[in-house]
Amino acid sequence: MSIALTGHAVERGREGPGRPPRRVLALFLLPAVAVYSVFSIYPLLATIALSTRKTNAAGLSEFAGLANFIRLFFDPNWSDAFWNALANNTLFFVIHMAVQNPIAIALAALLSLPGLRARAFYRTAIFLPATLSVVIVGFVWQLILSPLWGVSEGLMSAVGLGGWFAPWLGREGSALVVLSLMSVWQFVGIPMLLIHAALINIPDDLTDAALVDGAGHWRIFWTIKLPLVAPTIGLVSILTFVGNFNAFDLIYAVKGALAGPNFSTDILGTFFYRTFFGHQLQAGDPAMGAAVATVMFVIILAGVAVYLLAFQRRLKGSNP
Amino acid sequence: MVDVRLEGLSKRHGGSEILRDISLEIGDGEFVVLVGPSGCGKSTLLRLIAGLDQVSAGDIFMAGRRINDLPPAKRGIAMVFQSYALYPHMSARRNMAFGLRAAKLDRAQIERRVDEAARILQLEDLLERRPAALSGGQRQRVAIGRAIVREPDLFLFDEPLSNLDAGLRVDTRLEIARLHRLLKATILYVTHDQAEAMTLADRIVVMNDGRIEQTGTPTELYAGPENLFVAGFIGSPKMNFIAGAQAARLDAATLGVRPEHLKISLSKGSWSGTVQMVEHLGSDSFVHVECPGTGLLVARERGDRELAAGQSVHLAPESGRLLRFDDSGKRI
Repeated sequence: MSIALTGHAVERGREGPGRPPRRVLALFLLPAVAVYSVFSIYPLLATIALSTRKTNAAGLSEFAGLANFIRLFFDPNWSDAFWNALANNTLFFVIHMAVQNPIAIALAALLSLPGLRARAFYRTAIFLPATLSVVIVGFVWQLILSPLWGVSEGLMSAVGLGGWFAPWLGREGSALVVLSLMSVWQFVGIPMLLIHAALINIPDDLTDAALVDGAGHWRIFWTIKLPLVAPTIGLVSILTFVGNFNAFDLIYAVKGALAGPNFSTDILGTFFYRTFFGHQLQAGDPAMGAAVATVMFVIILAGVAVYLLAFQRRLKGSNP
Repeated sequence: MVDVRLEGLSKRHGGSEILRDISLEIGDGEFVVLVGPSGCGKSTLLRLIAGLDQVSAGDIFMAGRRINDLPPAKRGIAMVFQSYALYPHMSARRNMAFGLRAAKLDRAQIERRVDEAARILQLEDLLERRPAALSGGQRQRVAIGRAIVREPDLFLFDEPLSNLDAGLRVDTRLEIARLHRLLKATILYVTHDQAEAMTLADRIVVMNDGRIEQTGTPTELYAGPENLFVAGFIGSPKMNFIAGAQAARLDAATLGVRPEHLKISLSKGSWSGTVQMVEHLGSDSFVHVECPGTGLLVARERGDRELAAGQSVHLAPESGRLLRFDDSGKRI
């Protein structure tokens, strides 16, 4: 059937009966292309264009080439803050990868245990924080951890750990880690659900076959189930990467745009916000802001490219 | 290899009884086929023996040892699944070696056994491929290879041919029969296809509704079914059943006669009727005859006999080939 149609189309040129005319195809593609161009492509290109301009002494905008990027990377007035934000952001991401995703895998594995009671309750309870506003989560955790009104010091004292309590959110050394863990707490449900869905998609026969083959549940998990959900874990990792390097809201909600104490929780999102819009004594600089945004875009693009080219291709290939 | 004994095996799930009081012995090296309609409990029985499900009552013995509480791996069994259940992320070689690696055999021995199984199954060139790159028949052979390398005391096959197309099914059937002879393996094989059961089995166990209806060699079951269910289930086309006054005259509730034991005559016979349809199979033809007052009877005729729909014919059973069943379906 398809062979006959293709033959027909070739015979009559590209606009044969088996294939709609190109003009019609273009007409149907137009709305999506238009919306995507206006709201995604154009802002992106405009941002990149803006990052190559600067305001001169006369207050006029002029082309500056890569000057903004050079300032960002090498001028200590900018680069200290930029590298600090990049390092913090990387730590933010590493903590998510090292804590959120392993916990998500473990929870998904527990959720897919046969004979588990109240499965739906656990699933909902763990996922629930992800449905809350980041502002609420930030505020609630700030209250919990507050050394003045918080319950955490009291709770820790009740179990004899009162001496370990510290105002973690207020300390340079721990604030970013605590914020990361708050974010992990909020969002662990999403990778858990994705991995759980992948786990329950593995046919029972495979587990049965492995049991008959003499593998224990632990071995089955590591050698059968985990490799089979690896594509989902890859997906979760790239979603985490994109989400973390675009993060802004939690830091802003808890720490404000200055990302204190002493910029120890400053990530690229908050750094961009201060640069572009200005904050308190710092004047906004749209061109520098655009440069920061462009760098963020390049970082995320590079990460996604690495994932698509190296990781996903290997996972999808059925044969070496 | 070793003999297997089931004693009073029952399985309840929820409120329903899936298996009732199953007792069966499988001799060393015997090829036993469990056959029955879908939902009769045959696959459940296999899973009980494999240790994938727990028995509700009764005992399973292998070589005289009670194995009810042993985990699957310790029972000396290997199982081939209907879905093949190959590990999709592993090559055929790793699939076959998986159980041996779990058992911590040394590398050389694993290599040797996998190569040997691959040779027997003609899989040598396919060992580095993953299941996705194999055809259905090749996957099934890898699955069988995975069972062979473990050198089990008992092979369990759960409808292994159901996912194959008709031609491949016949080939694989012959392959399994060849393996049975070659390995002198004890095999318990589940199928719903009575033709598969007839061709493969040393002994057939016919199951229905959680019980064993009859056990016997293929010819025993074919010639001497103990009840209506077995009579109707074994044989294709099905045995003809005649109920009512004609059966009562012979002191039975139902009469049964196989299609090949009905003779078609144009002049005289026990029943007369009209030919409804003739199925030509080449060597044979199945002639469907509608007999008023008796029902539709199917007779097997030589393929070269000319009969046409609408023709009036007479049918008569060969002497001594009429089976009689009582009210409860038991053979008299």
